[in-house]
Amino acid sequence: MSESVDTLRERLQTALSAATSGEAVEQIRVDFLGKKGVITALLKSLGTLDPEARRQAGQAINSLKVDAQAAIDERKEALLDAADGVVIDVTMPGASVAVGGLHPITRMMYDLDDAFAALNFEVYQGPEISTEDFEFDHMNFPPDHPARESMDTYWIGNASDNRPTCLRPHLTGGSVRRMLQGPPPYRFVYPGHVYRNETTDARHERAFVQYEALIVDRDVPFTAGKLLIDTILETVFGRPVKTRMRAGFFPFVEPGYEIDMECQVCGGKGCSLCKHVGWLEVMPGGVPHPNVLRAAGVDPDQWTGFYVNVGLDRLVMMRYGIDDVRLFHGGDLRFLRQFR
Amino acid sequence: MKVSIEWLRDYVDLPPDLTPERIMHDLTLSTVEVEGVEYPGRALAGLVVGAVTAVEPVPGTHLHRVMVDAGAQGQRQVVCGAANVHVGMRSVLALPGATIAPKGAGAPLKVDVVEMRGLRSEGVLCAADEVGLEAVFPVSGERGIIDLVDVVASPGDDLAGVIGFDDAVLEIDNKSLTNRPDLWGHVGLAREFAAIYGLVLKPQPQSGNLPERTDLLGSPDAALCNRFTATVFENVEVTTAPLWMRSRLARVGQRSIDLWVDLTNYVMFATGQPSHAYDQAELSFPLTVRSGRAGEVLELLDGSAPDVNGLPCIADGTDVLAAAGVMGGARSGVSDTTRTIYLEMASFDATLVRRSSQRLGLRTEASARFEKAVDSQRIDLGLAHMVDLVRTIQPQARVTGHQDVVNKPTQRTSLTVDLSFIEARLGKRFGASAVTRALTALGFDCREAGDSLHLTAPTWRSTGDISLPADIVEEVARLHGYDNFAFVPPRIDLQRLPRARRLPLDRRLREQLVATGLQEVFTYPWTDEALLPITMAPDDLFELSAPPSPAQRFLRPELVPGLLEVVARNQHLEEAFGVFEVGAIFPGRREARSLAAALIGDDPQSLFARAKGVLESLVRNLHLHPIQLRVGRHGQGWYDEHAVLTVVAASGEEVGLLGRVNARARRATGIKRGDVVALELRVDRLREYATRENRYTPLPIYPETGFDLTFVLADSVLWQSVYEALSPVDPTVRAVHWLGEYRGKGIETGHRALSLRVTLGRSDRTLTAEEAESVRQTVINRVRADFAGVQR
Repeated sequence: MSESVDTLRERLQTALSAATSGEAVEQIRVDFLGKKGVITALLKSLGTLDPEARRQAGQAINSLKVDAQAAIDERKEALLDAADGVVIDVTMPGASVAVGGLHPITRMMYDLDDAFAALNFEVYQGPEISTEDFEFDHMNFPPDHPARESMDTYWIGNASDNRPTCLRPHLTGGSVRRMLQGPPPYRFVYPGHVYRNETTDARHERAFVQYEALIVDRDVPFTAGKLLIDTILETVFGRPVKTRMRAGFFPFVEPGYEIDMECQVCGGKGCSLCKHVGWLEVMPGGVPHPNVLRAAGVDPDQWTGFYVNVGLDRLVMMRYGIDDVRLFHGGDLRFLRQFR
Repeated sequence: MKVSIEWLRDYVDLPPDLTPERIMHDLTLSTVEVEGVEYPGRALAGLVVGAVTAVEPVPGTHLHRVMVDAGAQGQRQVVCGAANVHVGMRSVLALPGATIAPKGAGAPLKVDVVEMRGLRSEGVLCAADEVGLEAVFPVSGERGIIDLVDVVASPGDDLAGVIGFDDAVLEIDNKSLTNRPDLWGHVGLAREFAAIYGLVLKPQPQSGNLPERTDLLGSPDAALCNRFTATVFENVEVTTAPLWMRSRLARVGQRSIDLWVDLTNYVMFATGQPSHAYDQAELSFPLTVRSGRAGEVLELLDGSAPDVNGLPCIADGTDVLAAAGVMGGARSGVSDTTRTIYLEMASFDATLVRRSSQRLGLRTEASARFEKAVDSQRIDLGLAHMVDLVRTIQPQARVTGHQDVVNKPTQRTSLTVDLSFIEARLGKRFGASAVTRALTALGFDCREAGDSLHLTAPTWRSTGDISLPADIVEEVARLHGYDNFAFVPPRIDLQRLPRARRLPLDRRLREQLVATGLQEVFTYPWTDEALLPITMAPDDLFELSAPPSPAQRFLRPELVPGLLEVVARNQHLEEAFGVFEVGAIFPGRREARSLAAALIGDDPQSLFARAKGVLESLVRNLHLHPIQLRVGRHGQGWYDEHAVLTVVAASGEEVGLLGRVNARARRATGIKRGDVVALELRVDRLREYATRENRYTPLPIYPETGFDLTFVLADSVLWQSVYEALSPVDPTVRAVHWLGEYRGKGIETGHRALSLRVTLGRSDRTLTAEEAESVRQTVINRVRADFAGVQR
């Protein structure tokens, strides 16, 4: 044998370490394992040995041959891997992804729609231009009620309708439109913009969004309204929120309620946000007034129900800790993009 | 409205352990919203009664060295500048540590022991306005320290206790009281507490028989006045009201004026019944209530003289004296020389008082009560309180005449309610006796007949408040306490909802627009006049009667201008972005639903392509009926007439526009740089398929082939015509794709190099290279023939 197995093994290692290209490694393979390679030659030389020595040397050379093939393959892979190298500063900031976003109020509206869809409520959408009969007469506002005369409502001076026409000042009027479309029972939610002629500041806007839910059925005890209230508040805050109902007066409900929720800032202990009472007024609600049901063609002796109506602007402000309601219509992308 | 707990105790014995906070909670849950509790005594901490025992002038100054006996607080030396300080007077001594607000000091000051002119001053003798008590101790004539003339107290006593300020005052939200005119006085609230806590109301005073006269009143107009009483008190003095009365008035926020004004105010805060005291010597009988006549004005104390034509007025033989239920005129008051009082206590029509108060711009305690409809019987209670108070305070005075004209007495409301109805609506069994007990406590008369309850409401609940069975449900529920009802889930029959289908189109549109990278914004429905399209005549627009500002009196006929303003507002922060809105528009004085988007960036071509991609993605992903984009010159409005498309529905109806925003529109909305492409679609004109309409196209079995080509074409050759010409050029053409365009160096002006890809395939075998090449030649020839296009 011109070279021992161990020497060959060493020489192969040295040659592979020095090889820096696929071609060089291939040449090494040919030199060692090719038809005229040194290992092949060694195997051929076995015939000259006596049987015992041949057996021993054969084992050693075969083992060398297997290892040599493995070392060559591994070196090839390593060189291919090395060719794939790039330089990346892994601490650089992530690139911004150009995705759009819903307005935070729309986001909240859809969250609520989904929650109510699970209770089999439909979504109703009514017109923003409405008339005094829907907004006030059907809502049981007496003919001389101050809300009609007040400047709160944006009346339209040149409507072709001969009824006094306005931008809707609340959603509730639209519930009668929905009820007039077909017989009870009803289970629907009703989101939308409403408009009031107010002086704007951090807490007051002329355009805002309300969300209303109405259930009308034969047997709806008033405590069932809690289901609507809890559905809304759990959706907003992601956890059960303690609420209470107390006496409140609105022309379109009888009995009417103010619904308070436990102050989420102090947990009901009392803080400056809740004026130290531990509760925040969050929405009105109540049983549809018999005159409202009558206006909708529904017999109040047979049917009853429950309304809740919540200001989405205020809920969104509570959800995210927003302190100025005017931001919602300000169109400032720095604000709007925070709510994806 | 402020309510004194101490005052309430005159009418009902509230349990001593009932804290003001508990009362606040209970009243809020059952009746009206209490916004807070005030403790007026807290502001008076450190103020005690001090008796002046010695006064010596401090030479060379206007000051006095005063010795004050402060009882347990000892003898104190005080340096005092007040002119009215004298030996034997009792005044208010602020001890070191107390907080006062001296005139001219600006911020409140903490009293300390100080040296003045070498003299130690161990406290301050206070004027009324220094301790916030001007309402109790009105300053008349020269200002000085408080003189506690009519106070029963010993030196050193806490001032708060001495003047009755150791009280708790509830602040009630007036808005929550609008439907409860009976609660606009302490007696009414005491009645409510009696019902809530199961207490007994103390007996109210009685006026007894008053000597009748028939010459005091004319014929008050029944349309204006439900009831009018006149009562003459002779031998009166116009002095200062007693301290306890001034103190109570001050605690509920009413300043003391003189005895008779204070009496009318006091009776109003006690019973809710306003009244007015005239000096009889100034009147010519009889008084009446009538509408103001043309040219008539009411002279007010502030010197103004509003027109009262058509308003309900109180008048005597000569002139108008008062705007009925709102305010008395300058001639209606009393003075030091008044010896005979003519007291008007009346009940006016609620609506007319409100209108009158609105027209005059005068909101008074009286009008606030009358406009909520006060029952006519309230006068009996008010008059009884008045006569009783006068008897106590001015025993020498005599009622010498009384006249009562009743036009429209308040009728008690009667109604019948079934117990089963109440119980069904409340989801709870009460039993008849519990219900009648609650209603009786509220003043109702109840008669049971089987399941039915025949009820008669008290007069004070009969002016509109109680009229329906639902009102009775509320009374029972609130007295039971809303918190005491267990949750009862509603039971409903599960049935198909009329419109329980997929998500509304509005939502799907918004979510798809978000997926294309646009941000949703809200804008206002009114638009700036300057942003109206020239083609819009005011007749085509809704106009607000009282707009947010004169320039914003029209409701928007489209959404795009508002979006352009949003773009302008954000332009300083970012160079390329897109916004959208889905909302109501009002073109042609009709409401419609619209969708608009605006994209800003540097390159108009790529913006246009992106906007078009957005539009196409809506149609595809929302399963809308197909639309066509018609190349059209939309010469007016916001769009560049050379870069605008009209969106047309299959029906031929115009659905919207997509175009580059022209320079004039960019200037009008304040967009300073970049290019903007906008689109607006009438959502109400989009038609959705009833369900998903995609059709399966089998995947190609044999490999497709194809080729890319570039042609130089005149700009007048539109892609669409090339596309439409090449698609049917050979049956093996599967698709013709836009690859890109190039203008500039090497390309003649007015031309572009247009690159396209043609994909070929057959369903029965693979196309040969020769076949492909043959189609390629056909395409080249076709482009040359139809469009004079030269292959590049």
